[in-house]
Amino acid sequence: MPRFSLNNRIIPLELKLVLFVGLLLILLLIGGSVFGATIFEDDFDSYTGFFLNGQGGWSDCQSYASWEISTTTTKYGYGNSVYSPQSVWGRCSEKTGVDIETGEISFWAKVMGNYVNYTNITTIEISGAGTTALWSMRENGDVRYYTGSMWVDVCHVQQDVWFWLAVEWDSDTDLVRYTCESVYQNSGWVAPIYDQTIEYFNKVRLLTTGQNTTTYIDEIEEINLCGFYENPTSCSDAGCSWYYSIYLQDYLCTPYYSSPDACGSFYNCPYCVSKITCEEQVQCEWTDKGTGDACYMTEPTTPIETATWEVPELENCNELSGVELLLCEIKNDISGFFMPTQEKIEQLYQTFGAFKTKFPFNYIGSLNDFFENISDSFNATKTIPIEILGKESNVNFSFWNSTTTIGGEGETFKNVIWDITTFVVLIAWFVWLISWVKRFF
Amino acid sequence: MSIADIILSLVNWTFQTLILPLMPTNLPLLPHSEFSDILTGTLQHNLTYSFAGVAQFFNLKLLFLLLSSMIFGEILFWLVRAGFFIVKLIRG
Repeated sequence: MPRFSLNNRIIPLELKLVLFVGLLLILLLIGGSVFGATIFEDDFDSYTGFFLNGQGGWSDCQSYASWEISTTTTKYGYGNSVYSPQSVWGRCSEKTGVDIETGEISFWAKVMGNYVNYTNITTIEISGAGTTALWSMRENGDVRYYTGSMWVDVCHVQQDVWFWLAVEWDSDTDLVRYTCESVYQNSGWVAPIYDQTIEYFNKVRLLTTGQNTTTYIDEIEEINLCGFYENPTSCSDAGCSWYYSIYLQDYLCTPYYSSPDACGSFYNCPYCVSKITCEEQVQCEWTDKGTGDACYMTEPTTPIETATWEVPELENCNELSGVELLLCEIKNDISGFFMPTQEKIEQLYQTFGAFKTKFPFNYIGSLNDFFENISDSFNATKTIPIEILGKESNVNFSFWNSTTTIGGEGETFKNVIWDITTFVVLIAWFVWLISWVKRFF
Repeated sequence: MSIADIILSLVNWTFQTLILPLMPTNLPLLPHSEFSDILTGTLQHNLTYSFAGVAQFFNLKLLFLLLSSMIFGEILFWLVRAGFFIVKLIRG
């Protein structure tokens, strides 16, 4: 194994490589944080009405209709996003911000695909002074950039899942870098298109050609390179979230999550990277547990036990007199000697209640609650969304209520199916019952 | 303070200081908060939706009642067999 000597110490080649890469990353991060700037940031949340153009500096382009405002499909489950609906051919919206010579900008996007016709392309153009960086998203999940002569895939994303994509540019080197899904999937530094000398970028254009899919864009902002930070201090200093992922069994520092398990799904608190998104989730809290503010699952709380038994009051002797009063008071004194106070009874209940927070009673309690909730859900009616060939709809059981006539009696289709399956279940159970009884003889 | 209060104070103190602190709250591999979140989170959500769909076809309450009776019946059967085994063991 090749080794090198430095100051009379032998340092393995692997360690040197690690140090070199680490130094490179630190330089990259320092460079990013010092020179990083973006054209503008926009979460679309303040916009109203149907169309994006005409609001917040967004305007028409290429004679196409405007992107539209969505209030239902958004990255963090609240506010707005913008989308290009599949029903109209071509959508274009653009916005000019600040001239940035060396900077970065990122987007959250989601593509609802249609695998039948690969004709729909959504592009995000970042341009200025004759130079353009061009991202493209196709409905089959390919996310690619344009070299000026060909498209190059950088990542492949799932349909109907939010993913992250970004562009960095450097006017010193006249190069751009395209990144998507995670900071580890990027194009490397490549030349922009058209005029290949970067003076500055100052404009973002969202353009969709074709009408076979719906594309959403949300949270246009400066890149956060959280993924490079590998310890809680640097992660926290960078404004990122350092948390323990129970899924990956490891600590992570990144706001970039585009999986279905991201913040906004059920109880995935660790994936929430801001106080607002964290506290919008059920059973999540934004707190500092020693590694900086982060989103954690709240500890299940057990309600404080209150006594259901009340200490009986002593007999009222005020209306009595003479010997009766004396006997009543003696009786009360003896009773009072053995009578606990309500306060002590409450304490006893709370003491026994505290067992519910201890193993195994807390686990048993959670299981009990789980089965009770499931049992309650038997009578629930839920809407089950489905998507077939890009068309979204809900599973519809309305035909269950269609009535048919059996033996002269009107019966709904649901009752007929229900009774047949119940009969089959009962027969199966009787078969088991007979075999069970036979075992004893 | 009545004698009942003194006894209750003693019982409270015994449980609060000698027994409860010794009892663990979480299993090392699966803390209770995670266990609870698993049950009340995605799992419950998916089961609720699943049952809401399957309940269109089956009488789930009856189905689970019968399944429970089968489980109970099997356990009862093996308990009876265990009882007979012990009796035979004792009788030699």
